[in-house]
Amino acid sequence: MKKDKLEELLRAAGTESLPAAPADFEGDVMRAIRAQPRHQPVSLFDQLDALFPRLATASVVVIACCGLLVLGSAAFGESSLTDKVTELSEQWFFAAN
Amino acid sequence: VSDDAEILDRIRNGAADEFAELVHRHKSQVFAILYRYERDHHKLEDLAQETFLKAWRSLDQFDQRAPFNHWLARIAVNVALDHLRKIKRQQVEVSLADLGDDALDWLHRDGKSDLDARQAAELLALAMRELSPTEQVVITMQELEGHSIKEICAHTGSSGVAVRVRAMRARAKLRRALERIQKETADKRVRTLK
Repeated sequence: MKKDKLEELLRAAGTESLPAAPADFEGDVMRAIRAQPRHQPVSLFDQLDALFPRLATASVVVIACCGLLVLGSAAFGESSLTDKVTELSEQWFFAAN
Repeated sequence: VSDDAEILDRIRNGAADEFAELVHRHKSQVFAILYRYERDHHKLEDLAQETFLKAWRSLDQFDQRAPFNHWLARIAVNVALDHLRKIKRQQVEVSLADLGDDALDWLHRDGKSDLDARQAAELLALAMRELSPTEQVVITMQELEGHSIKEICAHTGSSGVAVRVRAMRARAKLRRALERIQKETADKRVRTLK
């Protein structure tokens, strides 16, 4: 295929006359708009969907912080984090008794 | 005569019916953009209506930093892109038989010769099926609508490098598609003559 052939085709296609919009097109659009209100109620799922990237990033940050905390406490020879949490919750639960 | 900004202000103040005036002013531009991607008149009308409905729904987001017609053109290009992606997924088969004889004669003829604009557009639409939706939009805006790289970037939200690469790829693919069509129709012609 010669390079000129494609250029010629593009040039010819570019001169095609474009169709006119139908006369009552504005009416059709306005009828469609009236049938479909501009401010549609936003559902809970839509809101969660909109927040998704932020929620996902926040979750990754929290998980990473927890991971670092566990690794840090293990590296400094502290007793494991699970033991500490268990100890604290026992103190809290049984403090009243 | 009010300009677009004045009409938009009135719409924001509750005169929703004024949107019809904006549709009237810009419908030709929207039809012109979308016709490059959809040649069926009923589907074209649906796409144009979808463009204006999207504009209506997101009028609150239009900050008037750019002219209204630029913003609307961007919405129309996005509607066209979504449409191209949809028909790409459906893998619509376009038959070579749909092409006119003049287009095929032109394709097989050596040297420069005239081709009717409509037949050229149909042949090009067939070759365009080989392109990705974004490549179709870039080559259409650059070659058929005469937009600059900067304008294409503004309408599509792509970088200048991405637009240049897509335009180059699109040209290579179009050339290969035309070669394939030429070969397939040549074989058919030989069989018909036998």
